[in-house]
Amino acid sequence: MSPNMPLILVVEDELTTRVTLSKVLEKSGFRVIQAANGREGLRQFIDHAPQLVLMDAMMPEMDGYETITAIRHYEHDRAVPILMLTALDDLTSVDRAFEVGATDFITKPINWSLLSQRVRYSVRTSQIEDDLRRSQAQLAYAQKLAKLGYWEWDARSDKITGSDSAFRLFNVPNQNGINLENFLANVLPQDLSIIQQSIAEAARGQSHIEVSFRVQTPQRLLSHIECLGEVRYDENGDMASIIGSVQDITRLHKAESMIDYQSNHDTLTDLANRRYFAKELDQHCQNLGEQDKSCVIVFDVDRFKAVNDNLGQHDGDKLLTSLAQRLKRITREGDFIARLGSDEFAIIIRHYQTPKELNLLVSRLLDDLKKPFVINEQELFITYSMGIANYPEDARHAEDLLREANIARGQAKQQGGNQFLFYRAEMNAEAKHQLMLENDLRRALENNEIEVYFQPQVDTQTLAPVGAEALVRWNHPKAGLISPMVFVPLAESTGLIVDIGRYVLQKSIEHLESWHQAGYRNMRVGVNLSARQFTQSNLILDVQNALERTRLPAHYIDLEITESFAMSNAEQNINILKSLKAMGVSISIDDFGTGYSSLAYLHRFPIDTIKIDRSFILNLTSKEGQAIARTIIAMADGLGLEVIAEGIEDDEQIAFLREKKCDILQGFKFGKPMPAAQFMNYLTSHPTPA
Amino acid sequence: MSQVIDYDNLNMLKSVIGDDLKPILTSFLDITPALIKQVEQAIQQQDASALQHHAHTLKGSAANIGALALPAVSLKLEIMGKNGQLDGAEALFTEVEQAYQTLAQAIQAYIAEF
Repeated sequence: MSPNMPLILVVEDELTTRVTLSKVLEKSGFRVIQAANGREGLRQFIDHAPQLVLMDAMMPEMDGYETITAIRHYEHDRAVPILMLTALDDLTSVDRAFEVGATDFITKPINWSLLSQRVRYSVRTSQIEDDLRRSQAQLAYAQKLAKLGYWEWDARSDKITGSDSAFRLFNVPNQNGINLENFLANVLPQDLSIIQQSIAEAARGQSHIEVSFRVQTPQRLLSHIECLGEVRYDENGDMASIIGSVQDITRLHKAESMIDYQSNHDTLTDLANRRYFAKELDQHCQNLGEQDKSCVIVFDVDRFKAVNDNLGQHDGDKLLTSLAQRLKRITREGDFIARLGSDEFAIIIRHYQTPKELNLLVSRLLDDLKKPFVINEQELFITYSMGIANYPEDARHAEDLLREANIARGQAKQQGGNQFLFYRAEMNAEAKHQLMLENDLRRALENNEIEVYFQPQVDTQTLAPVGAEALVRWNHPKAGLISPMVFVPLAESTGLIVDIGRYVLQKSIEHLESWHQAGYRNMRVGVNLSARQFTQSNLILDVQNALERTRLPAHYIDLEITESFAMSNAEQNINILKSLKAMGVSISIDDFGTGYSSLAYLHRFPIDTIKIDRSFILNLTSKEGQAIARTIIAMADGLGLEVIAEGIEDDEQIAFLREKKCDILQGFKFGKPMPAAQFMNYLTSHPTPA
Repeated sequence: MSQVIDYDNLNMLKSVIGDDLKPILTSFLDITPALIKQVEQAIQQQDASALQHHAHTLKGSAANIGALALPAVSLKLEIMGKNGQLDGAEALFTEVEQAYQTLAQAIQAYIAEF
């Protein structure tokens, strides 16, 4: 028998049944170990770590319930499925079985034909759960690697007992029975009150304590210690004892400070990053008074991409590092420097007196920056485009200042670079253009300028059309077709996306109906839901209304949300998706692989389909790209999800995905997004499925 | 006479485990008389909890190979044991013995046809 087959433990005192159970399971391919009573069963469980336990309820020595209780106690993070064997006529035993932690039950007399199925299903479910748990457990495990100690404080006798490591962590000699005060002798005096506070709360009924503090170590260093404890009370409700763990979290603490630092600093140059800069600028603007003058300077390297390509990644990084060092040197003390992006830097000039002073300051800055850099013994001359926005003349708010400085920099760049420009109100033209576009967009729906395009989706094996993704287009009366990349963000920011989304959903369903009427009865349609629709509109009602207008079964309508959005507020999104799912629609995760998916959440999302992002399909030419696609498909298969691959352009991609059993394909290879009429033509060029 | 064995279940078992069913049935015939003896002793000693336990075991063991009458009468004894009310247990016990005799013959016949 293959050692990879799941190992089943059968705990049953009655010989005939035990042997029969074992035989049946063995014939079905499982490995089986047996135990004739509960005690032996627990022993076998500990020694062999089976994947599933079949447990008789009534047994001498230790009965089934006691054994399950013991097993659950023994397990730490696993929850091995335990199927209880109970008589059909015994309902109370079923209740009790669940109470002590049984996973499911099998009634006696045993239905032999179903037994293996039940066992197999249980093993498989628990394996999936295990995989999910393991990923979560990794974090916990990392923490466990740190030293852990155990201690107990008897509140009535004021005595401490504990493990060697606990005494070591508190830096006191191991003397079981010492009192609390002596035990805490080396806790930093100013942290003692935190502990006293916790104990006072425990005495008042707070049954769980969690406290961290600092302890003076023998080397006169400080260690960060964390104590977790459970409080026990006597029959009068008075605190009897606290039992808990103690852990050295110094490294964790350091890591946290490090993470905090890193989240505010750029790792390459060690300058403040964009996030820190925004925070600082905001703070600074709030502190400025009526008479103060201040400004924001933003600059980048002209043609940096070309410079970087010439130098190569490594020397390009060197250049940026040198640039950052020079910036620190040439700015005044108190001014704040940050690296906002790859070659993009910013400076807050906190105070200046006169425009003349600022002019001088900026000219000198630019002159200093223009001096050559020596990279690999070669002199490198670079130039910059710089934009400046002034407080309070141009703006008073941090965001506005930064935006305006950026607009000025853009102008400087457009005029050939190698210069600095102060922001002027006219530069706002671009912003005004956006405003006009926004006004036009408000009328676009009523003017029928919004159109729904459809891109074909085909079955991977037969290449026959099975569906379409609905994509929105805007036919602007003057500007022509406007890319969704331009107007969707605008629609999002103004909330117009809610009306547009509703319209697209309705239109998509109408067209879907026409396809079905034309005989393409397997067709489905994917409709994208935006973040705003999800969070701010009455999405559930919109979908309900749309569904009421059609007689098509709801599962032909596939609502897509992007992975990054789905995960952004997972708990809430799970609930909304569950409501949608309850209406019968299908749910897809779009752009899968581009965001960060928590497997634990993915498992809980009520989704039917994941759409592999086109970037992975593009990468199918490399081994790594293939491995990623294969992994995604295998994972989806494991979770019982359908897979759609987007961005298919050639036959190699089709062949690969066909072999890997990807379900559905979409891409230019089968058709670009097209107007509804054209899509109908596309459909009729394919035979209707039989 | 009511049916002694649920042949459907027994055949199902046979189709899953094949010839290995034979030693299982043989061992059932080997073990069960001792089990019945324990039931009888429990009744003689008026030991309700022992009766409950042994009748339960007998019931389960017999039911799982598809026996019908023996589990039914064992259940009655089990309930008596559970309730600590052993009046009439002797009479039921004769039914147990009879049910087992019929069952044993049926199983032997079944084994013979293997």
